[in-house]
Amino acid sequence: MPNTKNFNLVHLIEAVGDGEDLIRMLEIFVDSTPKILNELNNSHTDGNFEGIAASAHKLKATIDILRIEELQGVVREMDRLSSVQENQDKLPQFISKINDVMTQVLAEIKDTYLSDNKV
Amino acid sequence: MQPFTIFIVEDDPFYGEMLKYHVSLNPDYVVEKFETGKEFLNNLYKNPSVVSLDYSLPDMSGLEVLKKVLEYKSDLPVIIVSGQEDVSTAVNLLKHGAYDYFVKDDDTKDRIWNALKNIREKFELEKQIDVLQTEIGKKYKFGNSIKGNSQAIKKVFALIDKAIQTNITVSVSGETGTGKELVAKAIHYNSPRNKYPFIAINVSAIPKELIESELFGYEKGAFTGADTRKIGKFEEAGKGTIFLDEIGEMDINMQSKLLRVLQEKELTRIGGHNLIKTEARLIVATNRNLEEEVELGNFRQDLYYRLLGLPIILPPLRNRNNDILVLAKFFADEFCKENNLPFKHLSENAQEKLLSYSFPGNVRELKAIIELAVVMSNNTSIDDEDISFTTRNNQSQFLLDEENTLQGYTRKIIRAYLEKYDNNIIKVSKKLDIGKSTIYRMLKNKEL
Repeated sequence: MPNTKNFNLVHLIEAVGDGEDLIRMLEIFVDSTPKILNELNNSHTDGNFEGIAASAHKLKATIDILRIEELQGVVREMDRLSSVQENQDKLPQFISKINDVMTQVLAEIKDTYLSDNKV
Repeated sequence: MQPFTIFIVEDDPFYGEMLKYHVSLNPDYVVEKFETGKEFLNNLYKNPSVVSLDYSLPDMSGLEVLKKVLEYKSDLPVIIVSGQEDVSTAVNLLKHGAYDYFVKDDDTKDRIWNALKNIREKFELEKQIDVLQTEIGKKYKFGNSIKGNSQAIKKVFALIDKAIQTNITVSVSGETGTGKELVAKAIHYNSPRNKYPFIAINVSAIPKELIESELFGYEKGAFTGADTRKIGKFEEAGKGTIFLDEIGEMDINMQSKLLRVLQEKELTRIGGHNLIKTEARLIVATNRNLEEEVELGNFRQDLYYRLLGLPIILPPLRNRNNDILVLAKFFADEFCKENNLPFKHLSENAQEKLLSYSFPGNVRELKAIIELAVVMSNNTSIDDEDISFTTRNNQSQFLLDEENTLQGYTRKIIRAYLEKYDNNIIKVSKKLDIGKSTIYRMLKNKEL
């Protein structure tokens, strides 16, 4: 399986193998992630720090499993800052970064793994 | 067989699915996944074996869900799986009764796998214990352990039934071999305490210098040879039952220590300072007349009243009429079964011979006699010549077992006849050729 610069499936393949279950897991990722990003953006617009922390918290495990190294530090810092409601000026930068990278990862996964499976 | 069901509560669909996939690799596990606390709690009635719970859920906190789960079933193992890397959160959840706490990282799935394996092993062991407890419970059900249809034994059954329904201290008295321990076990194994230990101690078998350490335990260094702390029988019994047989043999100094433990419901190990709560139920037994022992100054009156609780007096076998035959058949069948022998019945002559004997050793003696008779019998019938008694067959020997005054013997004889004839004073007065008024007077004066 090829790797891209944004993610690495080694850990996921180790957990579920590289067959149908991998595709099913990636489909779940592709289906659920936009919703989480949407919740994150809405919370940010509303100034809802609890909501930002909850979304960051939810993304943390996924980012780790898919080895999205560029976001591993970002998501943790965002989780921390939104929980303690400090340095709020940094949050837009973090949220923007997460949106950008995750959007790229979603596109790459769709192209690489799901193009034949998706209708 | 009850399936081992795992509920995964995880709001991240991707992570939840990965956990579900991993856990489902064990074909013996049934896995269900929920994304909200509410959805999970609504399904709690399905009684999962284990719960893997995400700390951060959209509608409730992990702690909130944990509390509700443990309110529903206090021993349900809940493994918290969380992205929260804060130690104080973990400690707080463990304090509130979480089984374990795992941070979501590369090793989480393996940690969960091992935790589930351990929980399942414990689960299987608990099921085995349940089966064994049920078996023991069946063994000690009245009809299975204590046999008989006589009025005398039916009265005992009624008292056992009352003892089961409460925590009252029970004092069982009766001649040797009447089945005092069997009664204690029947009470314990048919009561709600049957999940906890039944600890039996024969007070007369333990030297008086050792009884305190045996009952209450000791701390390390309490005396020469106390190399480690030892838990006493009261602590060992926990919420179970402690059976003190031959309580009448207890040293008078030890009696006061036991009284204090019974009054305060707490004890101190020898050499220790900490007070330890005791919740064990107490059943005592004796073949002595404790009231007489109190009069003689051998037994503390305050302890006597404390222990009296619900008195169950076991009738001697000679006063149980046809129970002798019921028990004889039961022992014969049981012995044949254990030894793979064909079942044998008692001939009429054998039955008559048994009914004419006084059984000073009571049920224990009958059992030994029947087992020997089965061995001696050469065919499918046990005949009178197969039955041999170990003691001379007369009441006088039983009466003369203990030295007594003439007045004491008189009381004992009248008591024995009253028991034998179901307290029918007219019949007893005729049999003993004494006036009814003599018996009434003795009853009124509490001489009997």
